[in-house]
Amino acid sequence: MSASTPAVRIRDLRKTYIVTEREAGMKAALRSLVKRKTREVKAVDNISFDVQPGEVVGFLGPNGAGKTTTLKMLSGLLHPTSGEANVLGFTPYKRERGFLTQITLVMGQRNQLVWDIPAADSFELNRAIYRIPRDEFKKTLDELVALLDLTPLMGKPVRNLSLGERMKCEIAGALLHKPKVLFLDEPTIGLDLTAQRRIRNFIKEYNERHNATVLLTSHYMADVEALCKRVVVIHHGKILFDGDLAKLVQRMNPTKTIIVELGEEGIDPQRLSVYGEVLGTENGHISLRVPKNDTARIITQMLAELPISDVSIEDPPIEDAIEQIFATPDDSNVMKAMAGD
Amino acid sequence: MSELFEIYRKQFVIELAVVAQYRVSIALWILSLVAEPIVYMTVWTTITKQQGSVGGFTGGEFAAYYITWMLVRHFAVTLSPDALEWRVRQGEFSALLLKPIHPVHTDIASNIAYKLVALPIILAMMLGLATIFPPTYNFHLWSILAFIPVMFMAYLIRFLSHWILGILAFWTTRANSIFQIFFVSEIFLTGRLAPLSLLPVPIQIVASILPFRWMIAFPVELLLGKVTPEDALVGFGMQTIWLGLEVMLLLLVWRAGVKRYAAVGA
Repeated sequence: MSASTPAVRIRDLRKTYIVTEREAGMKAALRSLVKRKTREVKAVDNISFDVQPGEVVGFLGPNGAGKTTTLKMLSGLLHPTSGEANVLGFTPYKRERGFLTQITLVMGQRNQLVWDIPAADSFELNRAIYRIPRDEFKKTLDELVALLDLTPLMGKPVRNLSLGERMKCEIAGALLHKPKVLFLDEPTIGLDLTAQRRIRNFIKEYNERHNATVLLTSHYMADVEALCKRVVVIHHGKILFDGDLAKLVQRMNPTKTIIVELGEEGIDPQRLSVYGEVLGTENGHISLRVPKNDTARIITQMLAELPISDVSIEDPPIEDAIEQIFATPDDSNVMKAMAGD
Repeated sequence: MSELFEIYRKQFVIELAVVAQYRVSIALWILSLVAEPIVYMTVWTTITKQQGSVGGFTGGEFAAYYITWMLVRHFAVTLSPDALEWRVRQGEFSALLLKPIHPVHTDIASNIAYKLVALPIILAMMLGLATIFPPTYNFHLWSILAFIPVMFMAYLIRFLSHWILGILAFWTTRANSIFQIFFVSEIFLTGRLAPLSLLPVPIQIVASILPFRWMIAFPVELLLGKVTPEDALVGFGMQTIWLGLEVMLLLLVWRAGVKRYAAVGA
């Protein structure tokens, strides 16, 4: 595969499910015996995008948006209803050996390790299944053990590990065959902040060391900010945005946050509402949201009119931008907001 | 092939470690299985005491039949179709589908490991039953040797039947009803309720045309010395045909079923 060929290529990919429906109650139950009412649910609706080799892309969307369905189609677990998916030159649903040995799918809190025995034994089984030469296996395992700090965990039965410890072992098990493409579905879900950071750092390190392609879903924006320059936003099965994370934030939330510290005590923070929306006060620091284009003018005005001892400017949290996208009931409005550049 | 053997070996070691953790519950479960042959042996020995023999079976031969049946049944234990249905419903096939090996290999390796761990308990129970119901055996050396490949084939035929049944859950949420029909057929057609030779001829023919006889009754009859070398060859031929058909069916059904897999919950 040449450097310019995308590692992941999706064109007009669709996945629909037929679900049966019936209302509650005896009448509806009897009616359903004669005639079943079905409805087509579009889990993924004509999406197209590419991921280049070595790229880390955040795949964002609320629950039920179609993220996991897409990852499952890309890893070969689900057959698309229509459209084309291509990963490293393979058609995923054919699940050829050459494909399966070059990809991995990590799904948060899903146990792929054997529950009753130490993770080290499951790793050995993976060595045999993926036909990894012993020397190479040892080298990779040592690397993973060091990066994820697994030494104290290797001999414990998986069922005795904490959630974070188990997740680290799951990730190690999923990477022993050194996959070139990683599909990570909520890899940090349910973990404490330290474990989240550790896994985040590890993904970054793995991507840099092996030039691996990563498609990542996460509800934790810290994961996305730390790992992904580019994000693809999906909602109701459709792609709403595909591009630079910073641009997404700017476009969806074109504001800045001004944080000021006043030199005098006793000034009511609400007095500052004439300059912008007062977000709150913490340790004498007052936060104001202002339109991005007016930031310079407002700061000049505040410095002239108020006894300010310190001032700083921040971009709004990424969560706010994402929240705003998903809170918009009509997709077309969101698309309009994000269109053009 | 050697790579597949290595995978089996590794899977086998893992399963030994897993089942060893549950050895007490496995022992208790196996002990509960002894009730069924005891009922059959009690009924048939009572009848033979009154009538002398039934269909050529003396009391001792009935005892030998059911003691051997216990062993054969143990070797023929498979992964329940309900377990496969559960995997389909819960999306638990996902982890297996991501591995570059057909999931059936994992299940066979794990199933064989379970059999070996539980075998000493079965043998102890057979000995116990033999002291209560003294069996009459007419062993032949050749039939004992032939039993090994015949039993292995019988196991694979039964295993694949149940595996194929289990993956019907890809199509219907009522797969369990189909399993029940199959299990009821097994009671009559595998020589479980009574040796097949005691059943009406049409039933014997059905049992011989379908895979049922070749899954359990045939290895039992072989070990009891009730099969001639010629019939043993014919039986082995039937087993080969059924195994071939099942492998083809499995590939077809699996390929079509996986397309319908929804991977829900996983």
